[in-house]
Amino acid sequence: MIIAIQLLVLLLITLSTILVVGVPVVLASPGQWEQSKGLIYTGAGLWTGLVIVTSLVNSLVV
Amino acid sequence: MINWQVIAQLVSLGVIVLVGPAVIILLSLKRGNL
Repeated sequence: MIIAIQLLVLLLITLSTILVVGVPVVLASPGQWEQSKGLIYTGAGLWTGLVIVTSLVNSLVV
Repeated sequence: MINWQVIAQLVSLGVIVLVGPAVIILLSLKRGNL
């Protein structure tokens, strides 16, 4: 179970890093927002879900 | 004996430090609104 938390946290850190770079680049590139906003919303939703799932799994273990 | 924890900390610090300028460089390459 601990390995599950570690993998979830690794995934969360990776996705966070991608979003930290990706969101401002998409927002400030001309015409890019209309093209990529679905991807950004999906990434944000996935990130929120990962936070909730990680907290649930963590509360089961510790 | 290699201190893997310190190496991981330095790698993490490197990622955090480089991510900021990466946004600026990507935007300048894409001719974004800087």
